Amino acid sequence: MKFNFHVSPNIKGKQSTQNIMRDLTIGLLVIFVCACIYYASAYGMRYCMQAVLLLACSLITTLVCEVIYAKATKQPIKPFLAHSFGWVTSIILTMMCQITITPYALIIATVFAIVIGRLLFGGFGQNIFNPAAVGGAVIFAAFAGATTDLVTSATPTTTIASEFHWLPATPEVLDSFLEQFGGFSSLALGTYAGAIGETFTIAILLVGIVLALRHVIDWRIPVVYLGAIAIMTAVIALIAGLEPYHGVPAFLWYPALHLVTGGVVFGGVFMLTDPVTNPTSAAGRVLFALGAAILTVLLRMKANLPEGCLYSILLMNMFTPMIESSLDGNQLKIAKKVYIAFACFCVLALGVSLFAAKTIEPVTTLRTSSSATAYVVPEVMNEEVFL
Amino acid sequence: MNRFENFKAGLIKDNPVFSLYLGICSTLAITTTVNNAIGMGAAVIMVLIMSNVIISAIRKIVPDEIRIPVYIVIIATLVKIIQMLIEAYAPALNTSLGVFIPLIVVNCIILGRAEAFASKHGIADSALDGLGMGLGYTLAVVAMSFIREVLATGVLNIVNPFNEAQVWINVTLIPEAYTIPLFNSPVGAFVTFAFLAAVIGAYKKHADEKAAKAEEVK
Repeated sequence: MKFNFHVSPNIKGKQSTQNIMRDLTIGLLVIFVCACIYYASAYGMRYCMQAVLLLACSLITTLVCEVIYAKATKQPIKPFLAHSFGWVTSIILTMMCQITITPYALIIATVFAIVIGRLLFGGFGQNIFNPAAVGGAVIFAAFAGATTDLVTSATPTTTIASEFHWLPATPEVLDSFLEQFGGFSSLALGTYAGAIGETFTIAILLVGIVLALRHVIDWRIPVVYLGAIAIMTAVIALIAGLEPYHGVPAFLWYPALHLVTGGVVFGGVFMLTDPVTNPTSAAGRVLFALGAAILTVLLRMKANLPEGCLYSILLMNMFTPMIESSLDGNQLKIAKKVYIAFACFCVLALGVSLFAAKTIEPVTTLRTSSSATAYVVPEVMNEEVFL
Repeated sequence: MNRFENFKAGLIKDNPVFSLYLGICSTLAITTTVNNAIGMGAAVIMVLIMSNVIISAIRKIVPDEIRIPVYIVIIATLVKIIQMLIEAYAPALNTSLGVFIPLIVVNCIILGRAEAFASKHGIADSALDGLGMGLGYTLAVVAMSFIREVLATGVLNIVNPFNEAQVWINVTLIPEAYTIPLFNSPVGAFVTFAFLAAVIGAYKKHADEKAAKAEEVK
């Protein structure tokens, strides 16, 4: 009689990391092609070429950084590059930027994302922060003004944050916001100037569904993340007493507005689902996505930043090891713990919604200055705060 | 010879900032410009030498139980003197360094050297150790501030601390469009610090390996 002993895991899925990353890359490139088509048709070929140029800059920078790292650590270059998947980071990072960004700023952000966000932690699979989000934070912090004068209009997130405090209360105010960007359908389809890849809400959702069906990304994360944001903003709409918009009650249009503006859908589908930086258990992932949703709404409504998605991802990445270790072990035995944690998070979400709705003054009257001013990072952020 | 080795160790191998990780708060905060760093370095060198000398001189009289309060009183006195001197003769430096001059009192380098070295060694040794450690600190903050200032503003600007109208060096190294303002903020300080500390760590490792190999050959 013959016994075979294998080291676990003994059941292997058909998917390899290569396959997952290939599918993800194709999904991202679909969105990127959408962006190219939109910029080519709306602004001309030059803008389309600019988007391609930015992507090329980011990809080449990634390649150079990884080759140097492989040389420095004396690893064979070709296998290292094939297993590093740096291009996914650079595509996501490029799509998070606006088309007005200078290639130089993007290159620096890519260096930060790849070298500090990823390689210094030990390369693919070792990083604790989502590298693309690290690069995005660098752009936010360092290059807020580093834009070329290609498209100078402000993005919907900066406009709604600076002029309407995220709470346009009456249909007239909402109309004055929407007409700057061509209405709800335009916001949903992504035909307005914003971050290169983040604007195409419907296309991203479709790609996300395909990727989830192919088990490339975990469906729980985007569903819980976007669902929690929708519920929290609906609660805010009800408490703040927003008026119906052309017959649509406030608890329906206000969450929709939150979902179609800014990068929550892009972040939820492509960045939060990064398998390296989120918990491995299903329960952990649900808690992770819920926490990110709470932080996103809180940052959007109460912080000085126009967009909360990016920082919520970075902050939740820090909690990943904690979630992971607390939900370690037999998943059936710790089910009660999971329910309690889930209930706590739900109460927290409700509390955040109440707090946001009670403390923000809804904008009910139109201001005279309709021109959108670019968001300026307050001085306080740049001051030294150490002692 | 041993004395000189002690002095040299403070510069790179036992650099107080990058190797002993002492006095990092002020290092992160004052390294936005090279001017600040030089001023801070000079102040720390002076306080460190004087405190080391005084503490070494009284090391046999001070009761062991209350040595820390005694050291702190000595250091605080010296820092106050230095602060008043800077206020009188280099007012611009005083405004830009601000609270970090009085905070030299709680700088770990000074108390650390008093505890670890001056309370056990003679006056001359302690003075030399103070100079070495002070120079090590200055070297560290000047290196950090050079990187941060050049990357963040693109301009290297050094003025006479006693007369700010007198500009010694003012060169543009990076064009305005290619600067990285991030390095002016705390994030830049941490990143610069981490990279320099890593370089020093790598150098130390390399030196240790070399020494071990030399030992083997013997």
